[in-house]
Amino acid sequence: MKAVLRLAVVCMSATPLAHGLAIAGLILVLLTLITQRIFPWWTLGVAAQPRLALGFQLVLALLSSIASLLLFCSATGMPALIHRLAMGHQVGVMPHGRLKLLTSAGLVVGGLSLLSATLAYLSFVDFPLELPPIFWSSLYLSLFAFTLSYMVIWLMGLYRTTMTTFVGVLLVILCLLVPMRLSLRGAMETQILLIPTLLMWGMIGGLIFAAPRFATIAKRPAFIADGAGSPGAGSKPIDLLLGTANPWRYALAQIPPLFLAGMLVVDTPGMLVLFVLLATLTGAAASLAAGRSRRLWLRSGASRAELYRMVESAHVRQGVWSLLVLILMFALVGGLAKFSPAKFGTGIVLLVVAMATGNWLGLFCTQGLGWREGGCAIIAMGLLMLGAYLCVAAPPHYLAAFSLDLAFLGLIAGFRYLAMKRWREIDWMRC
Amino acid sequence: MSVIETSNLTKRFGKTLAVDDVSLKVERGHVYGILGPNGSGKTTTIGMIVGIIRPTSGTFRLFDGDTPQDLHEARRRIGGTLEQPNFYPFLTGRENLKIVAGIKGLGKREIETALAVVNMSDRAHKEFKTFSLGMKQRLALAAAMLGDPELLILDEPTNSLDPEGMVEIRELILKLAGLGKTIVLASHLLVEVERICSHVAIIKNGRLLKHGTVAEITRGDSSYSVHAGDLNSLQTAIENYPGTQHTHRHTDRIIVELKDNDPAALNRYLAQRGIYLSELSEQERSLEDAFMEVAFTGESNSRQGS
Repeated sequence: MKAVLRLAVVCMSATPLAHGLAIAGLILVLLTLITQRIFPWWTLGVAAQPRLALGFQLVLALLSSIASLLLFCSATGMPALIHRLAMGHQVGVMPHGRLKLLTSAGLVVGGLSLLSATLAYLSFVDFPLELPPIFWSSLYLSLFAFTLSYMVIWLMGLYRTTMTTFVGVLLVILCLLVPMRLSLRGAMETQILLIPTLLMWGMIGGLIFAAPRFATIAKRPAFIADGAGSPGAGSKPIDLLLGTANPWRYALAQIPPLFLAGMLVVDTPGMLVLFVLLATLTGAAASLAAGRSRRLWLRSGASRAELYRMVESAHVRQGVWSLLVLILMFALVGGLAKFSPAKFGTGIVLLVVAMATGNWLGLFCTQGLGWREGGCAIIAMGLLMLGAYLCVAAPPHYLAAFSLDLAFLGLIAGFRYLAMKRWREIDWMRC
Repeated sequence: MSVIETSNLTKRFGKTLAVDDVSLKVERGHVYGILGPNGSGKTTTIGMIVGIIRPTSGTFRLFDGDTPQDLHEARRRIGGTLEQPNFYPFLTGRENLKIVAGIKGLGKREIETALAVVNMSDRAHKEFKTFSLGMKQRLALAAAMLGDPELLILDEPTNSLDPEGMVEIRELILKLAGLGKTIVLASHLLVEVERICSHVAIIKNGRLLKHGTVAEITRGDSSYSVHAGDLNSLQTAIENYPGTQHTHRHTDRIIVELKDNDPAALNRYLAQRGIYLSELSEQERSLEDAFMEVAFTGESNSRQGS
């Protein structure tokens, strides 16, 4: 039991970042619980201040969601850790090692789900809904969503390319959002989710117990591990090394999630947010460019400035392809939803801005995602979401959206300047 | 003309000092081995020279030029393998080289020349995934040779190769040296470096402990191998010789370490006692012995220093 607990703790605090996220998540959980228990009148409301109570309730619900998300993120290293331990020899030496490994993974997912369900239950305390169903529904949902997300993260780690990262991130977002959306709309009995969850855990158990037999399958091909693109007819050698050789693949990969989301997200703000998110993600593939450009530097004989120009144009080319598909899809959605020309135009400009922001922000991240880069990404994403809101609010604030687009031009120019500066002094040992 | 000249090159990663004040000089035509255990700073030193790592302090010159423009021009004259052979597994050797040549702006003729140099012309039509490790490394060398660079920088070229592969690569490097290329190679395989290199630099914990020709490094300071008809009498006489520091008897000879490093005096002393030597030669150490001695002494010195 001690070993299982220790493994579970390691899964949630394997790196300093994971450790920090777990602590931050737990602090938020405590904060929410204390607020709920000690000051119930805040959320229960008093006759004189019903709106205030509703406001607090919303804040607490938001805090609960953030706490769950932070704790979920803190264990994103778990799939890789379990994979490595299962493939190693040490687990064979430990008594019932594989069972302990499986139990610890289950404990993490179960614990997180239980916590999320409890928080959801407490967030709706005294709300005019039946209490037990909310708890159980949240528990089933969390178990399913967390299990599926960690499996996707495991696969992403196993086959790490721009394409898998891109699709994987989308899948994780969908894994977390879609079941919740379905259940809130009453389109699904959450109990049904227990079946796929149990099946997934059966599969995970099978993989852990038979890990040594899967050694050859799990071994990543050098080409995939390296993350370069596959050569297509007429691909430029530079694009092959940078992984931008087949931009149409990324572009087309956006269509299935858009269709899937289109079936679930019916409101215009939701769709626009999804489009903006996709535009940013496509550009963010550029964040892998620094590490990949090492071979290009060694072989091309280009100066650092020339190298940056090569990398930048390759990623802009890739971004334009993706943007074209996004704009076509947006036109389709706009046509169906009968967007006004102003809304359609503002939306397209926002997509261009989102792609450019993601692209140059990605190029700026030459040393991975540190606090500075993360901060910039959060601010940029916040502003993009604000842009989406201004575009679809009723009534829409087109002038404000236009002003924001202009501000974004400055932000993009700033990111480009910083990217060029960093690439002039790039140290591939730190990439 | 010096091809590489570093002066007080230092690289620090946070609190870790990866390379500490390294100054070395590689002349044209040298086969220069940078020797050191794993994590000693060999790759970091090479990385700074080829420009993938920025030095924290210190300077270096390539082909006698040190301005950014000179260094940029000089890097076009360098070919290198600073990574495991990493090509597309489902493309042939020739197709893989075509990609590299495309980046360097070179054509078919250069590809065929590079393949011929590494003796792969007849096997370049096979897929990379079917290559042995030795062939993969040879293809990497062919990629480095594209454009006929004057300086080749090779990081652990025989790492993880089987004995046959090692011999293949060793012969290939010697062949390239014979073509007049200057070669710098980093390795922790002492036997390989001893067989391939003309010059050696020993690095440990980021510090350059010793450098020079292989002969200079392996030369014993004051140890001599002596032989005479009666080894027992010889041993007794040597042990009684006041200048003897240490003796060690082998089956057919005696190794003697002298205090004053004067073998003539020892010979005279033995002759006066009626012992006439049939052999008196300077004791040569293997590079491994020299490395262990230098590395150990260097470590003790740095400990004392700190």
